[in-house]
Amino acid sequence: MKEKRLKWVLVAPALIMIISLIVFPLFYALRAALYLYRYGKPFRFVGLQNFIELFNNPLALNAVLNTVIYVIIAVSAEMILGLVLAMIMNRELRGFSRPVRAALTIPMFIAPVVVGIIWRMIYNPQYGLFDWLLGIRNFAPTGGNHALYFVIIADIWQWTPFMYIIILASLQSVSPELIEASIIDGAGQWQRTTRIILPTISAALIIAFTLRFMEATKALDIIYTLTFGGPGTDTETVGFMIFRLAFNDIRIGTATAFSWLYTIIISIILGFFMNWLNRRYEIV
Amino acid sequence: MKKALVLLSVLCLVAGLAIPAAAQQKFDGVTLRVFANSHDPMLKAVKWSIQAAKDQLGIEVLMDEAAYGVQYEKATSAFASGAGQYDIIVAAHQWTGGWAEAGYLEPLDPFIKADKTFDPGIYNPKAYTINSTVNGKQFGLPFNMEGRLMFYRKDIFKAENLKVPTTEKEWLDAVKYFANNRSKIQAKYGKDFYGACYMYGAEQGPAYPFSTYWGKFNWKKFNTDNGFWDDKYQNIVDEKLLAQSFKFWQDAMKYMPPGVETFNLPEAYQFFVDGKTAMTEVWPLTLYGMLLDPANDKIRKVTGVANIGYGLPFSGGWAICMTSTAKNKDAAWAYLKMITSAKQDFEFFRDFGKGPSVKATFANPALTAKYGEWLKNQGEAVAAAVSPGKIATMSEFYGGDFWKIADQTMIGKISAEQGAKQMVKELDGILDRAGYKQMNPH
Repeated sequence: MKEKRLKWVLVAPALIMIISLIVFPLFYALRAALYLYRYGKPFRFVGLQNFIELFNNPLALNAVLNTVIYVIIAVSAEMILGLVLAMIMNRELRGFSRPVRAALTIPMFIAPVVVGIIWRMIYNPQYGLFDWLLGIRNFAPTGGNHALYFVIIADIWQWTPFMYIIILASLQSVSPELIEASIIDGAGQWQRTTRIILPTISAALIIAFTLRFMEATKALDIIYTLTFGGPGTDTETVGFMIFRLAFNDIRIGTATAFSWLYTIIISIILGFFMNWLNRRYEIV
Repeated sequence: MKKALVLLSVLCLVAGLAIPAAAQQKFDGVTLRVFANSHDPMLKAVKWSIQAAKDQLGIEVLMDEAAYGVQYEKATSAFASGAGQYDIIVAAHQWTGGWAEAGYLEPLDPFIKADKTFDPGIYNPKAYTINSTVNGKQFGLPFNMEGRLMFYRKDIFKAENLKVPTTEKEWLDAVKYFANNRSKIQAKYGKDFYGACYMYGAEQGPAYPFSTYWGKFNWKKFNTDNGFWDDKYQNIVDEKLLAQSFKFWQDAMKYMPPGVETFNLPEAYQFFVDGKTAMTEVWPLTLYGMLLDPANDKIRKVTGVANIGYGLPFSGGWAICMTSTAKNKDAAWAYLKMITSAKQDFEFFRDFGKGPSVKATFANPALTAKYGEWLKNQGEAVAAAVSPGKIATMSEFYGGDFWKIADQTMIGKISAEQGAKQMVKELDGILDRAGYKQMNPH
């Protein structure tokens, strides 16, 4: 009996932290999703109306589609580019390795808001890079029907270094003996990469992919400063729309309803992914 | 040495007697916490008031400031917390309705009634009501007022033998003229030159179709001051007319510079100041402020100002209000009166370029030399300006789903008819969420 009680005493601090910092805010948000909130007035219980409104709102569907495109393209491109860069930088470059390796990580350390402003200037159709450097006159990267793809380019610029740094670290842990043995056995560059290096670093690749996936689904700051969701709603992602609903429109109920739905969807996707990972690599 | 010390003591005594004690002021020891907006002309005015309030009223002013996008959130959070953080607030007119309804702002009517020295008749009536009248009650005094104006290049209009547009058709004809003669025009005025550069970006763009809509709206048919809802807060939008107005701007987009769907105020201002366009419509105070910079002298001399020909101008108004938690309301009232007086209105405009609200400022001969026809037009625009209104859910209107749909429609992402239909439906929700049940929902 004493031992049973002791267990609870030992677990209690962690449990209190989890309940107060994670469970309570989540359920408080769920409660808010069932109410119509107007400042200075009593909350009005509206049941599932906030959720129903979302399902009937074409802008919400548009935001989901934009997010899907954003996440798939950005994370995949960052993964591939990060891998290529890491493999290049994993070699000795005659004394250049260290400064180049360090320089490649710089975009990652810039605040996304600043990245948005930098790319906004680069994309300016009158004064930006396309006009000034490339001589492409009057081209508006964040206009027309292609704005989302140019926002993704800015995201790739910023977050490829994140992939690169994780992959480079794991590449450096690949045993040189293993590589030497494969060379002795007659394995070419392609075989070494696909049969030895990639399987060895796959766990790191998956972790990097998962972390970026989770971050990309919440994309907001770069969009806020680069396009503010425009033109129209072409670059409005779920993260941006939730922010807009909550802090511009002051529709707290609708914003929390959207947050909850979105959290459930992302959790399901990640749940399947983690389950698969666990079965395949037993790393999670 | 001794003599010198005696002489010094005598001098000090004489000086001490000669300097009168600081005059006793009515509100000595009172502190007012003022939340200013960081828009430069308004901020300069509030900063000026820190010393003036001390000198004239004995009031100590503690100032906080925030930019447009942040101030609303910050103030609303402060109000909702009930901490009584601010006594005075500079507020965009669209915020005042919600704050007044929530009881965050103090009605000024009792002060106005009791104060025989205060004359509301000095203000331009539109500035007085648009900025701060909510449901017949006065919740602030006008602090900064603008009505949109059209800026055009007098030299180019003259050289091309064009009439300054006064109607929708004339405006479109002028825009088309530049577009249809692009190679000739660009050969003459530069390869980056476009006849018209208007804003189609999300933040400012939709204001144009609303101006067009207001210009055609049948104001006699309803008791309304915004053409969107009536005095019973029922949605009265003329959907067909709204669709026509958006179609007009969708069609005009093809005559604008490439990438115009991303253009907001900075792009439009810069286009005009750089001499890359013959006409634009923007907030006049900022553009005129830019033109007054000696570096832009050349452009300013050939700049003409006209009222917009395709409708009624969009209003940009700010009020200065007393919060309901103001600790010393008499002091707050005295401060409001001081900072919005006819004298200050004139001086703030003259010195800082803050939008005038007092009738006399628009006719002040001391300003006409500097501002010329601009001042006359601005006075007319303010008198004709229309505001989308002041209800508790105005934040949903500006920048919310309603505005997003308007923007999508303006740049042709959805048809004008479809956009107008969605906007009308969205407006039902906005009114409903503000607490005004719609009798005939769309």
